[in-house]
This record gives sequence, C-alpha cells and structure tokens, in this order.
Amino acid sequence: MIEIVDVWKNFGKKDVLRGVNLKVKKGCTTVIIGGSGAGKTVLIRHIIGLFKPDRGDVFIGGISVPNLNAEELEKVRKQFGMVFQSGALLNSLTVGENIALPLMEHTNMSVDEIMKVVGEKLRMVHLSGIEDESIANLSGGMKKRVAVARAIVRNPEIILYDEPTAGLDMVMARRVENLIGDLKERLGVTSVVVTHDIGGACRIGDRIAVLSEGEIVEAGSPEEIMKSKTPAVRRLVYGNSDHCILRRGA
Amino acid sequence: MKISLFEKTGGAILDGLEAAGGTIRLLANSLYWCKAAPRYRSGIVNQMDVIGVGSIPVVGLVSIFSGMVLALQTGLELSRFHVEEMVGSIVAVSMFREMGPVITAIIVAGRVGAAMAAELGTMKVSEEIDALETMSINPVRYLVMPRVVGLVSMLPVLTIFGILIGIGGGSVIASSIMDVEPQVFFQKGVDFLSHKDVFSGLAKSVVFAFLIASISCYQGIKAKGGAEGVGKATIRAVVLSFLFVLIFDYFLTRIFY
Repeated sequence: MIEIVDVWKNFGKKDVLRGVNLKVKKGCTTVIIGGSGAGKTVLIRHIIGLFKPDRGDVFIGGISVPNLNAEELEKVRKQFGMVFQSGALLNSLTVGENIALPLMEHTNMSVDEIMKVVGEKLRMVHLSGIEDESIANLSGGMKKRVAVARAIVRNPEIILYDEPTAGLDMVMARRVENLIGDLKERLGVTSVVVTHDIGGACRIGDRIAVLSEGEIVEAGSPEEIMKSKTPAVRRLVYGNSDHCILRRGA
Repeated sequence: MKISLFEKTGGAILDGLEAAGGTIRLLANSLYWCKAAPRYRSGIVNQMDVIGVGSIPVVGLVSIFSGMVLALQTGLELSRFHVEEMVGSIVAVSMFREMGPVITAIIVAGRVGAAMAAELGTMKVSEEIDALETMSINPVRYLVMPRVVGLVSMLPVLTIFGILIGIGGGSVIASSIMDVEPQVFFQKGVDFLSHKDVFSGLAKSVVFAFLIASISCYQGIKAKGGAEGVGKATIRAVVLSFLFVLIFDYFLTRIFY
C-alpha cells in the first residue's frame, strides 16, 4: 500500500534520511521506531507529501507522491488521516469545529449530519459530549484523542500517527495505544505509527521498522525485533548495545 | 574576509528576492482563491470586524491629533500672512492626499499586520498549517484569503474615517486658536479639494492594504523555530509593511501628481 524507495533527505549539511526503504502492507499497523533525531517525523512527512525527498520515491497505491501537483496531492491526501505529535488542533475553533472541519470543507453534508458524525467519532475516542469545549481547556491526552477523532472523521484508508503517546502518563498512553488497535480492528485502516517507545511499539505494531541515523536498520515482527542482535536495535530495546550480552554472560 | 562579506551580501540579496517572490506569489494565490469568498463569508466578516471595528478607536485618536497638529502648524504660519482662513484647505487636501491614507496604513500595519503575522506564525510552528494541508485544506484559501479580503475592504473605510476625524480635529484648532469659523474652514476645504485628491487617497489605501496583508501573511506562514521565530516574523512583518507603505506612497504620489 505504501512503498518508500531509497529516500534521501538533507537539511543544511545534515543527511536526515539516507536511503530509506520500507513497505507498509494494507490493513497492518507498522511502527517506525528510533531515537530522538533519527528522522522518524521527517520520514512520516514524506509519506503524506509535506516533504519532498532529495532522492528516491514514495508510492501510495502505486502513485508517486513527490511527483504529484498540488491538486493531485490534495486528492491523494483525502485517503489519509494524520495525528500530529502536538495534536495540531486549531486553537481558534472548538473541539466540534475541529473535527467537523474536513467534512465542512470537502462534503455537502448539512450541519446536523456533520455534527452527528462528529458525535459518533468522539464516542469512538471515548470523549462524548465535549463538542463545545475550547481546545485550550483540554488535557494532553484529550487533545491527542480529539486529534485522532479528526483524523478518522472522513473514514481514511491510512492513518499516520506521529508520536501518539509522547508526553502522556502511562495510563493515558495505554488508552491511546488501545485506541489505535481498536481503530485498526473496527475500521480496517492501515496505520503507520512513529514512536520512540519500544514497549508501545510491540503492543500496537504488526511490524516494526527500526530507524537509526537515517536508515532502516531492521524490520520485522515485534518478536523478531526483540531478539535482534543488531547493535542499533539493541541500543533502542535495552538502552545500550552491550546490555543483553552482559546479562547473558553473567 | 572579503569572501565572507560577499557571501553575506549575496545571501541577503537572495533571501530578499525569495521573500519578494514568495509574497507576490502568495498575493496572487489569495486573489485566485477570492472565487471561494462566498463560502468563507463568516471568516471574512470576522476579519472585517477584527480589522475594521477593532481599529476604530486607535485610528480615530491618532487621526484627530494629526489633524490638530497639522492645523496648528500651518495655521500659525498662515496667520503671519493674514491668510489663516486657508488652513481648512491645507488640512483637507493634506489629509485626503497624504496623511489620512499613510497614517491609517501605518496604524493598521502595526496593529493588524503584527497580529496576522503572529497568529499565522504560531499556527505554523504548532503544525496547525501542516495539519490543514494533510486534511487537503488549502491554507491560502482557508487562512490568507479571508485576511486579504478583510483588510482590503476595511482599510479604505478606516482611511475615510481617519480623514474625516482628522479634518474635524483641525477645525477645532482653527476655530479655537485662529478664530477661523468651522463653516469657513470646511468651505475652504471643499473649494480646494478635487476628485483626484479623494480618488488618489482611496487608491493608495487599497494598495497599502494589499501590501500589509500579503507581507504580514507571508512572514507569518514562513515563521520557523518556535516562539522566537514567531517574534522575528512579527517584527519583520511590521518593519517591512511600514517600509513598503512609505516606498509605494512615494511612487503612487509620483503617478497621481
């Protein structure tokens, strides 16, 4: 469904992505995991066309995203929902208006029909009845879930999550993880999740790709990643590459 | 050292050209999206309220004192030649041709231009503009066009308001200090004003509105680097708006007169 082929991206003198290759299967949750500054967010932004690669290509259902013009890109993006790390909710609008915005812009639905859909999506993220709340009054976890509700309001085929549990306490992080799993089951969406949390990645991912220094160093099932002997993967899983070997030696 | 200076100068020129090109492109793009204006009428009305109604007190206050100072300075000189009744014509012509459009534009650039750059800049650094793009919502259509339409429709109205208040302030000074009756003051103003003065003043205000809106919105949506970046974008928006209002004022005056 999504294919990233030899993508290179540099900012100034730094190569952030250095030949990334990745395939995301339809209906699966693929987690891209890596440390801070590994290029995870840059990679996910290439998928939805917010960045263009310096070299390489990104295909969505066989369509090359970097080569689309603005109008074509708008059409392709209608298949997507994206949850930003900060939520990126429009502060000048209420919760209901934020979620309704894509429907207001792209459909001829009446206000009543739209508000019905908004209520339904809020129920799905367990936040019923907060349509009239201001964004400023929401907690971090609520903002993330409202952002998820906005991302799914047009029933997208693909949802991209940028650090969906970053900055949340453990209970709220689990709730968001459960929500991601729940949406996959109920809506059958293809999900790409960017995170630095290996525990969360194993819980929600069908497949995990480890991004280190701008490259995918390993990809596989959560079990395969946990058993990996690649130093960069070990650093991510155990904090340092020698940890496991020392424990095993002892 | 020479190379470094050369590089710096070249870099600054390239940055300036890029910003100029980007601002013109943004303005053209927002004019293109005016075709969607009826759909965004509530957003446009909201902008007109913020820009127009919100600016009335400060435009009124600055204009009345500008008119008073103008009447005082010119009236005292004219009284040396015993032609103080001409003060009405000088105040009216100056306010319509020059002071009204420029003073109102400067106030609006400082008040509204800064707010536009700060608001759009904050939206940019908090990923709200990226979020709009991912939802296939064109940020120029949704955010910039209502601001451009709001400012272009309200600045001429504010300018007329400022001119009238300024002339009113001038008449108060003329009657209280120079003993020029308000009736004489206004009659002289009407006698010496031409259609061209009124038209050129309004034409200037429309051009200034396009300048302020496009510069401020461009600086806002190009902001980067968090709160500091938003602050810098706001400063650039205000300084560049002031600068280009004055530069264009000169060239427009050359064209009209």
